[in-house]
Amino acid sequence: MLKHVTDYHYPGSLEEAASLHDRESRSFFIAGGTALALSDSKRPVELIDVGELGLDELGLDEAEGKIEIGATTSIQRIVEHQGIKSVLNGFLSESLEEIGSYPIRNAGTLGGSLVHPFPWSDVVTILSVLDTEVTYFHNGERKTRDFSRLYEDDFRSELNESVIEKLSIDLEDETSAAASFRKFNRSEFDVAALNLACRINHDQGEIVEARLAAGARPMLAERANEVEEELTGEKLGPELARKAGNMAAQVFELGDDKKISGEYRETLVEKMTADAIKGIYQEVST
Amino acid sequence: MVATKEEESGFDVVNRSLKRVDGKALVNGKPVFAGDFDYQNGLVAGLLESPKAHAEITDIDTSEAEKVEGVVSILHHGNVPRVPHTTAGQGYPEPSPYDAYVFDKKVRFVGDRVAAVAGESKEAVEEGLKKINVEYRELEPVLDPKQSASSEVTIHDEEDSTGIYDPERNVAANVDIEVGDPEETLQSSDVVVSEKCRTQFAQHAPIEPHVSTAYMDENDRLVVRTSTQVPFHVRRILSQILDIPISRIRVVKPRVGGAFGVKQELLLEDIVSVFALRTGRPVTMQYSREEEFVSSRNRHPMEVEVKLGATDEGKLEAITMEALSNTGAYGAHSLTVLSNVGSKTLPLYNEAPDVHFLGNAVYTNLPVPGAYRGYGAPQGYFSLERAMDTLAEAVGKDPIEIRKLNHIREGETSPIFEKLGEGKEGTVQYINSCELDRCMDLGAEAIDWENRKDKEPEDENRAKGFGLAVNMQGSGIPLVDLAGARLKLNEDGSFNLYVGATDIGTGSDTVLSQVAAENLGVELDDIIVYSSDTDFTPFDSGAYASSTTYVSGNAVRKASDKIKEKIIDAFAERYEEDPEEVSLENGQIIGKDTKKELAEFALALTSGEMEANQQQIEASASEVPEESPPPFAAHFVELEVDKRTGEIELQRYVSAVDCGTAINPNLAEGQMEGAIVNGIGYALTEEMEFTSDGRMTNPSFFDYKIPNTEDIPDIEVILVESSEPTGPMGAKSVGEIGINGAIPAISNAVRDAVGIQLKNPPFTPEKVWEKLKD
Amino acid sequence: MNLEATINGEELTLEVEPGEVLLDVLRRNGFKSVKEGCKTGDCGACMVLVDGRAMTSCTLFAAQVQGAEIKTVEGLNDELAESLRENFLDKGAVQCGFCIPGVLISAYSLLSSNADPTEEEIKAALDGNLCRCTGYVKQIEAIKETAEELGDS
Repeated sequence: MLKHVTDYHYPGSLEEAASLHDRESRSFFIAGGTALALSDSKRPVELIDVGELGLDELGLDEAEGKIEIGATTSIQRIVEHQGIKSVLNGFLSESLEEIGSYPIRNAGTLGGSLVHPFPWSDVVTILSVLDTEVTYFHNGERKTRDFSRLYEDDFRSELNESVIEKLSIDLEDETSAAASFRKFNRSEFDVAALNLACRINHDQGEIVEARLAAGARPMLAERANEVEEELTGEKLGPELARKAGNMAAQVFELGDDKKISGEYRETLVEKMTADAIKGIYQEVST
Repeated sequence: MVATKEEESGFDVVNRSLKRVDGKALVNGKPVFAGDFDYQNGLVAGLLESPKAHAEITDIDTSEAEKVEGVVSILHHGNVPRVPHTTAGQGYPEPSPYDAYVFDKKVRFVGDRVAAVAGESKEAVEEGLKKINVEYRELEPVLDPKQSASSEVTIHDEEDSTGIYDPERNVAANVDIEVGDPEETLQSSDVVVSEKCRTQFAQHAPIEPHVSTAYMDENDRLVVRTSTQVPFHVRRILSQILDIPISRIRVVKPRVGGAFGVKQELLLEDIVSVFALRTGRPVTMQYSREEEFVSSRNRHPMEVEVKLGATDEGKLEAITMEALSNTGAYGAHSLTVLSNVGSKTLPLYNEAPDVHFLGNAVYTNLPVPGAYRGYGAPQGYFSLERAMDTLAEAVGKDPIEIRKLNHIREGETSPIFEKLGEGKEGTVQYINSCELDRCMDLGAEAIDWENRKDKEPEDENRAKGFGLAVNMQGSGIPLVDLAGARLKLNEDGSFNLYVGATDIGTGSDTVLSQVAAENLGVELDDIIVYSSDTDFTPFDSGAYASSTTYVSGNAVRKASDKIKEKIIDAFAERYEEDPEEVSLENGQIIGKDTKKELAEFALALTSGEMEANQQQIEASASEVPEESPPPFAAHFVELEVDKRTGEIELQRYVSAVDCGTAINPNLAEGQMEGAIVNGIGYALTEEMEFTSDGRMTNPSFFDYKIPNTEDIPDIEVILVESSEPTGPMGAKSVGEIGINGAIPAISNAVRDAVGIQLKNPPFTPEKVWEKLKD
Repeated sequence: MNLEATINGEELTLEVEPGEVLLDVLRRNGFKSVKEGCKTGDCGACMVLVDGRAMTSCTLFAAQVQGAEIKTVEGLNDELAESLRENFLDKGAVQCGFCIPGVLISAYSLLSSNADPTEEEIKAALDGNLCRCTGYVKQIEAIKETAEELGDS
């Protein structure tokens, strides 16, 4: 936990929150606080509570094929939402349920997971394969950005100064889609030592678009564009799954950390990719 | 699930899963743990721990710390008497070296004590600790137990320590026991197999860390309220260290939030006591989770090599076992845990007449191992049960068959019982109850062992494996343990039961009350139990060595026999009956001609009705066990291994255990289930990791992984009841045996699945993968 | 600063520091059922209900729960809570008891929003409650029993 909190603010609006943040040289926005709980910084800091600004609307618009998630919606609320449970055959709710533990999911928010993401973040890997847009508040303005561009280097400083307002996930379904999430950890109550998400849009088993992301590499999630291109146009099947796994192990940049080695990560990413695509194939075939 | 004996047990209170007597307070969240009490004018204390693995403290300057507002008292080696002692909570005279000091001039591991501060608040204490200036002269640390004996460095070079086997060679303890000539026999055996396995540093991780408070009562006696397994040993050691008579010290155990051996120790009680004596104020100290990992106690890592010599048929002729135990910076429990590696394992296979056990416990500059559930047996059984499977394979026999061929049976003995006790010679013992065959049969049936070869995993990338491990443990320490119990009859027919026995969550308060209630013909609610208070309860060695049900239970049984006799005598006299014809049943006293409610007679006994014949009926008894009847268990594991990644998925864990009569089946099962899950963590995910400087790198639940609800397989415990004639109502103990099975059974199952040899827990996926690659 | 919150049904105003965690504030105000096991959000012994949601109080600043409704085990007295307590005792799901307040909070929270959980759902709701004594087996059984009992009524 942060050791030296000097002041705690309750802004009445997003604008107020943003201006407080600009004013205070060292301040953090706090909603659920689970991300900050892992810091043991002793430097003086002020906290700006954004948890009560009504940024927790959660809705699934089936007609539009859109999910709107307010930034301070808790992970667990998303997991439990009846409508979201059937999105992509449970992909979103089941993968989010892999995060942390029940109390962490109850307190932790989607927005909070995104501003200063841990490199092992499951949320970032999961959202990487969905059509997601992030709406945020910066310098008095409301802006929107594609999630895939959220962690680009030149955007970092703007992100650090922003309050995330909401996420919007587009589920347009001209073709069918299926997705799979895999997580490797040392025990069931552990952050990922490697995580993987895969989403396939297909037309009767022929891949129209593929997305594959791996995180906790140990680095933050990245997409394997080469593998995605290779998969496009191919027919789903166990052999393709195996090939994709093989390729993924070559393409993803993987390294060592104190949990597991880079070499082992290669083996894991191969298996997890193959299993994910095979799982999607089986789901699609039934 | 209880597989009862053929005959009806015929018990009314015993052998029933009654609700625990202290449960209400726990489910209501009442403030009953040591850290839940508020003290007027109380202080808190904290410890300054060594950043060095091995160093001399050349200077401690507390002048700046003393100026901090709120700091009240500071302790270090310069102002606390130096009294060599052991921190191990064991029967006096303790079989552990006296190599510890409240504060020493030397530090011997990263996390060792340097100084302590008591203050008005946590913040003041933290500030004070930061301002203590310490200068160290660094010494070379010894971190590899294999180098300890040959190292130039002496970890315990102080003159006043005693009881160390060979201080210059850093050997804290040595055991060398031989029966017959096993080396010779091994030369001529048809089959010889050998297994050398190691086990890692692991920590108990009770959810409640160590916490103790000391204060001076209104008569200036020192009172220590502490989360402990051994209140009486704590009192005695405090008396020794503080040079205060035992009569001036009271130790009380409140509810304890888990212990498993880590609290079989004097750990914070000395510090808070010195502070209380000096400041005259109550002082509380609680370890943080990090301190609990580093500066409390853990499990002795060991390397154990077992050699088995057998006939072609698989009958054992000789067993040798050699153990190297890493006892860390201090020798608490070093000799006794080492002895147990052999004493709890070798007698199991008494078929072999020639046996040799050789063990050495060596010092290293690492966090201190101590007592931990199993106490050497898990380490010994790993190598032994792997070797038995290797033998089974060598002679083409089923793993169950090879055990049946060689294990000890009712009426039999083993020379090891006599030769190898806990730290000294043991006692001759014959097995009076053993249902191990039935345990194996029932366990095998439950897991469908017979058809295991036919089972294929659905996923072609996986391989399925089944594994077995059998073991025995003990029930107390013969001729060493002492338990006392006292009963007092109240005027409403209820009884106060006073026992020194220590309920650390195990449910012993309940179990012991059940024994008393059964014997007295009353209900559980009629027994009011009070335990573990050195002023009010009789002596008890404490909750360790699986002693409580068997030893303390017998003390209760004896005390209840005595009080029953006194009640009957008083009744017989009053109503002119022959005592032989009077009995206590269902809350009544039943004579030939007169029958009374116990409550009615009890009231009469303390009222004017009986005039001069009024009396307070009480009785007490002591129990020193003469033997340690082992419980027996068979552990079966079904798992799958992902051949690509080495991930192990535990699917089923079946354990069939013979603990005699299960006084409270739910509580007995609970002991097994908890021990099994702890064993699974020990096998698959738990390890304390260190830098090359001896600093632990993962002292938190974030990085030291203990099992949660999603880590457990389908667990089934089968209580296979037997009747131990020397046990209270036929009972044996069951607290430890559950932890011995996971490592060997899982290792054996993985060998069954993919043919690789796992000898180095925790069996992480990456480790398994490395072996699969070879 | 002041923390105004409803704790176990009582509106309270408590003096807190901005950087104080809820666990410490609760314990020093007498709510001793909330236990300190790790202070890092891992063991679950400090769990409380915040506006009906089970959370670890050691990872919440007291200031975060301004105006919220907090419940600790001391304040759970309805049919569901009583049934859970009864079944935990009946099934032998309580050993040392240190983790129990946190487990009851999680169980209460689960059954309040999901009256008929599967075994997987029970395990998921308890995945943040570490227990070293019981191996979880009987805790899961006790929760199932309560779900069944209340489902029938």
